Amino acid sequence: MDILYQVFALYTGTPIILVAAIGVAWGIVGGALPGISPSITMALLLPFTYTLDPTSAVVLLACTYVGAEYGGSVPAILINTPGTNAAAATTIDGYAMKQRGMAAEALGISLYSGVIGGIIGFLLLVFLTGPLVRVALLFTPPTYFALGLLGLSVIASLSGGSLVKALAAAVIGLMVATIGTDPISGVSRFTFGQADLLGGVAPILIMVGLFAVSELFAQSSLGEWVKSAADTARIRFPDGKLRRRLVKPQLIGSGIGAFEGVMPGAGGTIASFMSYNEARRWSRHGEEFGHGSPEGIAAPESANNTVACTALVPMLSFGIPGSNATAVLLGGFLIHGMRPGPQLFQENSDVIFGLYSGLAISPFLLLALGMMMLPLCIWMVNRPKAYLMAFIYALIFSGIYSIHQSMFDLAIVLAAGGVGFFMRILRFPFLPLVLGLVLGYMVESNFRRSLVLSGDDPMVFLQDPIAAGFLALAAIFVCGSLAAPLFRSWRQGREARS
Amino acid sequence: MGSSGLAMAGGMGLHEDKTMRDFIGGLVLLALAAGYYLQSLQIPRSTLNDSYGAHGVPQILAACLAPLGMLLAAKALVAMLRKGGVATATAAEAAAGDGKGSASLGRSVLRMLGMLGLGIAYILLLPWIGYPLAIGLMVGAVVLYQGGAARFGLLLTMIGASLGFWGVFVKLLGVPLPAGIWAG
Repeated sequence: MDILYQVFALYTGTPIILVAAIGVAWGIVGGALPGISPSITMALLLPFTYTLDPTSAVVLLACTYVGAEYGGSVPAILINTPGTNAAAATTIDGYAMKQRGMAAEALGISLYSGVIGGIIGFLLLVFLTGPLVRVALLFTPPTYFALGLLGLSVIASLSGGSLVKALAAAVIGLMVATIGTDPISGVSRFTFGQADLLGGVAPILIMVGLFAVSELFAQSSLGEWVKSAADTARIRFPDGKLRRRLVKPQLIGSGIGAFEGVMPGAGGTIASFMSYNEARRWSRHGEEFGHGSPEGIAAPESANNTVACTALVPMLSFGIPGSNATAVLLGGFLIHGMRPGPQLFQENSDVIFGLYSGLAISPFLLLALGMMMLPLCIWMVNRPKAYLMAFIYALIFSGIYSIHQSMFDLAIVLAAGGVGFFMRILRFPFLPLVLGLVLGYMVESNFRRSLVLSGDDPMVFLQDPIAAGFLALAAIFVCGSLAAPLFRSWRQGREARS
Repeated sequence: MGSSGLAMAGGMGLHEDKTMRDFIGGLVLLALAAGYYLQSLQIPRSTLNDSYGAHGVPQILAACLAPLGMLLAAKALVAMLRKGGVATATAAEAAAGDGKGSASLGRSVLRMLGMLGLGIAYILLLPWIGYPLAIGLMVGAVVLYQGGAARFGLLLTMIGASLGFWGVFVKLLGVPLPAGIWAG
């Protein structure tokens, strides 16, 4: 009864529904713009969360993530251009349906499946996070150090591309985290006499620079986005027969989305393509896939909306963000002086409760706002790119200045944008860098604290069984990633010879 | 990397030169490791230090980054030598690219520097001309830089942006943005 009362008070006593609705709405619009990923949509909001109370701030960001995962499917269906990477699988059958004059049906299946995925993802989030938090309460300084290393190595190993580049990006992130005042002795490091650097580099500045500013820099040399016909601004939900047919692909999508969301580094893109393939494999209408199959939309859309919730599991339980979007959400926690992990559940349970409440209503808000905002999404997609870029640039500069009223912050964001642009050219991933930055303090302070407590005995990291397990897992991930290409080339060579 | 994958693969066409890109990336990492290590030597020693000191972890990080840079550069160098030299490898890789309307690297960097310049100009001008004028000018400059037409509608957009951003940030959110010439 107490819980019911608290839920009622939360929904009626604070503007949680309003904040969640704004987040979902902003997410739908941001996700619908090609080139603006969920993480960028969230990063643009980060400065505004500074003025909000902690609960509203994290609800706003989390619901933006939920909205953006659906928003990405709108241009995927209408103009064959996914608004987000995770919506790329939706283009295959979504655009095919649109070409057959069934855009309204395709949009309806996408929204309906997204809502189903969101509900399943939320339930999994609630039931999985609690047990993991209880495990995390047993952690000691060596465990936290090992956990930080495990998070970095898992992200570097699973984020795709070159392992060497991903590890290097993680080390660079750790280097940036050392700027400022040393956590043990208090001496200043790498500040170059700048008082603005004494407190370190705020992760939010690096995130906005890397994700949003570098995207604008990259977009600057690209052409205009494709336009959409205004007569497609309708949604038609599936009837009873089609809803029954969609159950299987939705369950496949949600199942894969649950697994991929919990796995750091995997994310919605892999989940949506995997679920598309599995839905085709298990479908009675496999021949329709690629030519406008409703199941080909339902599976990936359920998957990426499930990921939007389950990706929060490792972030909330251990403080390890598994994707760009959850890294930005972590930035929202850090702005308000909160660090996700078991302590958060003990010290800021109201924020967690608020976050769950916001996420619980987000699928229903998605349903309502997804229908209402479709004309706005189409209008936004059809705006000249030059104007959209100008307003996003102005929004970034105004928002970043709002945080500390510092011109130095603007310079850091621009510099991070420039670095991000060249990282894109050289194909260095962003996520390991961001993770290194946000975990840097935890890794260094717990490493040194462990050694102080043990009288400089490095065996302290192996004496704690959980820490030893984490370190062994980290070594397995790195060695496995290094060995995988060698094994592949050996197998290809053997096949070629035979 | 978020949407960058879409943007870069679709537009910039930089995937054409993987080996050279990795070689340059490796050298950049080496330079960064060296610079960071040299700076770590400047960190003052404190009587409150533990056995590692404030410089200990930075030096470990520099020692981790340097071999990663060497490995990346060495792998790229070996790949280039196997293909018969830098020029041949680059030409072959460039020829292998799909070249679907992609901008050249030089043009992309110049465009990026232009956007960066507009941002720097905004930062320098903001304290002098004040937020409403600076934000309006920046919106106009970015629109023109991105190929928007210089017509009456743009002027209205600039005025609208000035008033809109000033209204939201200064009046609604109460952010003390520099007033510049509008002070008082």
